[in-house]
Amino acid sequence: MEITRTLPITHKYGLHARASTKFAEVAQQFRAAVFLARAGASDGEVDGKSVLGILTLGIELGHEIVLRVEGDDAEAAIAALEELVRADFHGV
Amino acid sequence: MRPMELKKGIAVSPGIVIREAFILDSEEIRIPERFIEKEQIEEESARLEAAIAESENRLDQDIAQLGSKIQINTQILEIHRQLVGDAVLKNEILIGIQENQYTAEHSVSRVLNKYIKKFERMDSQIISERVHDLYDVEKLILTTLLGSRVEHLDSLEREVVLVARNLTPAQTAKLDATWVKGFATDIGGKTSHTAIMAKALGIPAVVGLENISTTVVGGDTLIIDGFRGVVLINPDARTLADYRDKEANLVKLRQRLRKDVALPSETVDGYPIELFANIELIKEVHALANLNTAGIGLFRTEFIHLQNPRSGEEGHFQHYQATLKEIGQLPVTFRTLDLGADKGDGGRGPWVEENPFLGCRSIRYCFEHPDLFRDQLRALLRASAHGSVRIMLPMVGAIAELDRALNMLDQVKEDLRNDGIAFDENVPVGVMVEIPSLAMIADLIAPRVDFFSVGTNDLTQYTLAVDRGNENVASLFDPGHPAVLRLLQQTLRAGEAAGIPVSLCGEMGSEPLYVPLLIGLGFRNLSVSPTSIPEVKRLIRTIKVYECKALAKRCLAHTDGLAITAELKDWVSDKLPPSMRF
Repeated sequence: MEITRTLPITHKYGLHARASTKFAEVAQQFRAAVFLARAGASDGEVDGKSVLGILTLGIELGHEIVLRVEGDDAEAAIAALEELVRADFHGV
Repeated sequence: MRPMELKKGIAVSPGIVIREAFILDSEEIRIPERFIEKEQIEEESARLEAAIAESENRLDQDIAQLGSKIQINTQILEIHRQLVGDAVLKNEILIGIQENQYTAEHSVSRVLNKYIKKFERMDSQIISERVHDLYDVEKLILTTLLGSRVEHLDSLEREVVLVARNLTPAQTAKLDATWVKGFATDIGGKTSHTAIMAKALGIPAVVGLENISTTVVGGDTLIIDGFRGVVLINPDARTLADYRDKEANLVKLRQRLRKDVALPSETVDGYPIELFANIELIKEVHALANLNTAGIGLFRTEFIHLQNPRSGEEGHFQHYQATLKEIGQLPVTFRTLDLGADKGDGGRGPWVEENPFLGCRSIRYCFEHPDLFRDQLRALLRASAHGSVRIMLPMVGAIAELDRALNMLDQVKEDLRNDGIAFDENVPVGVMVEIPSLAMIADLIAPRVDFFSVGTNDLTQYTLAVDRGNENVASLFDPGHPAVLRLLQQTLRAGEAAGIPVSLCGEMGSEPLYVPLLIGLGFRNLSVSPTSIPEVKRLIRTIKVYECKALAKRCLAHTDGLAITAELKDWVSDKLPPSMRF
């Protein structure tokens, strides 16, 4: 199963180191492959389980991310990741 | 053994040295080998996997130990833990081992450096500031891989020549001059930091070698020929014997020059030319006693700060006082902190400017960090009670900037008076003439200061808009350009009209090609690196001022730099004995 979702980043510091770490940690809990891109950017997707990859996107407050999840537990994965992003990474 | 290889670069510090290569990688960790054989790929991959697993373990233990005691610290460790365990990262490192036959260490360093560069270029400052986390991760994996084989620059125990992409002041501040006998770097130009350091240490250096740091393998024998700008990797027996002879002859020549050093610094027709020393490191001061100098014409204070950004007033004062004690009654011109641009920012983390040489450097940086500047001014004034102190302000470009610095100095003086602390009320304050705008208004500035000192490196770079460290344009860097000569002349005239001394402390003053011209223009006061003093003095003692004046007049009549260089070269080969040519 493949699910794609576009989400706004509302965290003050964007996907900074701690937020990216949190994101990768959550993504790693699922079997599904997780991909992340910056909406409207030409850099393409990075592995959402790689904090290094996420950081290279340089996502800041006000950017939108395109989240693509592929695998048998994709639904659970997207739910967990969307919750994390909408909750501003739980205050990290 | 691999065959001999010759690399051509830019000669920046004369001399010849034959030693084993020490390759400086990131974080000053030396990577002993860069390549493996095909049969070792599997073993090397396993070594990497084990090192990453061990690094992860170490971080897990650290995180568990710290627990929730110090939240910030574990957060950073958790970021490191994620980075070390990053599958994308590991994969890229493995590809380097398997496809390019890199050693695990070399592959780690290459991959992480790729990301470091990427991070540094990113618009988001929050992310570009994470670069030091990548350095930490690189260091952790490398030290785990190397185990007890880790060798640090500051714990060397044999003589080597340093090979690096580039040398930063933070790195050179740490190196032990007892063991480092030469530099060879990929980038840099005649007036780069590497060049200045090499001259300060009196060791040969060749820069702009493009890829020496990736060509040389640890343990290779290197010949650095700082006269011809050549580096020979693994020389054959004949070349080696040849260079051993040259090295021995050079030692003899240096000894002869040293003997003449006690003679007065004056021209054949009796004009005294005062020779001062440019000092980079405190440890150089001691050796000045044997050089018969007129004092220190440029004391670069930023290295005190780079070695310890928290030196504060007391740390600076200790250094100044020790210097004054060592030098006795002779004057010392202390240049206030020249940070920024190529000199790092002393611990504030990576902070990238689009155009650092036109950015917040030097006096501008000091205005941005008034506490730092005030601490230094206080230390300098306090030191002025213990010897002959002169204060020199760098990178001043306008009267408003000069006034601002002088006001701060007045405030600090007032504070000291209130605190009852002794200082020299008449401590001379001068400016460094290194921005063309200042040279052009030298007549307006001169009445407000006690001296001028021309910094020809920056003056040339800013006048000609040539980055002195960029090898693509380094050949355009020409201190003999008519525009530079006119600015020098203008500065000298303004100084003369106001009755203040004008000295010169740039590299130009130690280049035999330019010394006769400078004397002809009117300079009677040069500050050069200590290692250049014997040679410059010998040169001064072979020339006549009236001939230099005629030379300067001819040079000023030329319309371009090439003609001036040709004129100077002609003069030198005509007037100077062969041993003084270069």
